[in-house]
Amino acid sequence: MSAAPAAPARANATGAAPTRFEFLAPEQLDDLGRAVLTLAREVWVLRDRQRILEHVLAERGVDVADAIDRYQPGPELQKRLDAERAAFVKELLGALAPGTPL
Amino acid sequence: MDFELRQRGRASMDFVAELGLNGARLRAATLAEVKSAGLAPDTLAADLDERVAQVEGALGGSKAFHTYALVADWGSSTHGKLAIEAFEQVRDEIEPRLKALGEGPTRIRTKPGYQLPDYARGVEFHRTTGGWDGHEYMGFIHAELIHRHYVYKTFPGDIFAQRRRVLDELPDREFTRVLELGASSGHYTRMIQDKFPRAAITGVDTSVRFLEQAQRVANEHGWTWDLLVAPGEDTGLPAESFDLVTSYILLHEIPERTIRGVFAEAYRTLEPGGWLLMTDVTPFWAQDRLSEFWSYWGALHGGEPYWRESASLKLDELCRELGFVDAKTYGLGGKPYPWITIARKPERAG
Repeated sequence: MSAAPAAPARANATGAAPTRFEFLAPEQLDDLGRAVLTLAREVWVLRDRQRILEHVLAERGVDVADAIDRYQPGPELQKRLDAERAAFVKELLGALAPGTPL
Repeated sequence: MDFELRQRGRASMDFVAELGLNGARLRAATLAEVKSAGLAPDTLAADLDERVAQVEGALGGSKAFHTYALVADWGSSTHGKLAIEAFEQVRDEIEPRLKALGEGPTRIRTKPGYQLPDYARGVEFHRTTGGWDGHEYMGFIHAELIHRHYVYKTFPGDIFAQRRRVLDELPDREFTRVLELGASSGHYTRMIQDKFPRAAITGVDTSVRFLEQAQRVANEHGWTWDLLVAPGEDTGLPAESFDLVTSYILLHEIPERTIRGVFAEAYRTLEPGGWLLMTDVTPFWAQDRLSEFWSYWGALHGGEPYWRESASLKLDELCRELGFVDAKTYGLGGKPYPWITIARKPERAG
């Protein structure tokens, strides 16, 4: 952790300009990257689940949790999931490395 | 064994594989930046450590490079955990079948007095949490989840067809007593059995968890393999008892002194006239300096502590030092991977 104070910088009583406060220490950059990707994985899992939920709901009744867990995408749905996942990952990595062809 | 992942496990494995594919694209973009920074294979430093500093320095401001590094790090540190999680979601359903496949003609025995070699102790190869024996079903998890849902999708070429194809490099004869060193979970072993249906196969590995998976593969097919927990450099098997000694992707996981021991053990256990076929990663000397950098850099961050010393060896020369003849080392089909070393133990004189 940075040795900097644990609160956002603000003008002091003398009215001097605030010093810039960095919430994350430079050595936390890797951790931030890992956290982003870990979060991205969770987001993808949920998005994937949501898409399948829509399909299963259309085909069956209300209690679909187990059906979703066991649902194996057919070729058409798998193709759609593949395309959405690819676009999702490209968008994510594009934010980290703007301008890089992916 | 057929089984289906649950939604969370399937989507997680799909995601980490997708990330891996994009990692390759990021690296390709980085290559262009290396060139535009004025670095080329023939101008890079000869010393590998110096070269690492040189390339990393040149790419210090490259977002593609840092993103590639991040993606590679996350993939290598996470894929094993995700695979275990995916397994646990279906464990109750498939565990009875896994246990049942432990019964059958193939048995596992352990070399008397066996202890895990020092070079493998505490090492998390491929950054697999807990190492090769880090989970009760690690052999199954690695073979059926990591290999099929991650490596197969992200590694260039067909990793299963490659295992089958290298066997065609052997002379056109029927091998009947085969020793596989580093038999692991049996992916290569089954290719050997397919190629030589009458062969009696002995598979050696230091990981009992992986041999348990090889045992399931064998029992599922009704094959009788002799699976032995032992180090490949000191199997304790009888001398001159095999007509083929082979390995696939073992050598880069062991240090140089052990590789020498493995080749010496192969020579000892081969009968006169028997063949040696070892397949592994591309040696450094067969790559230009930039490709060598990427190989090493990936190994450095990917849980491959012995890659550098392994890839620095000239295995055909090692074969000749040990007495093998007709030694050759080359990339299959003229490509850099898989890399083959093939040799023959001479016939007995007189």
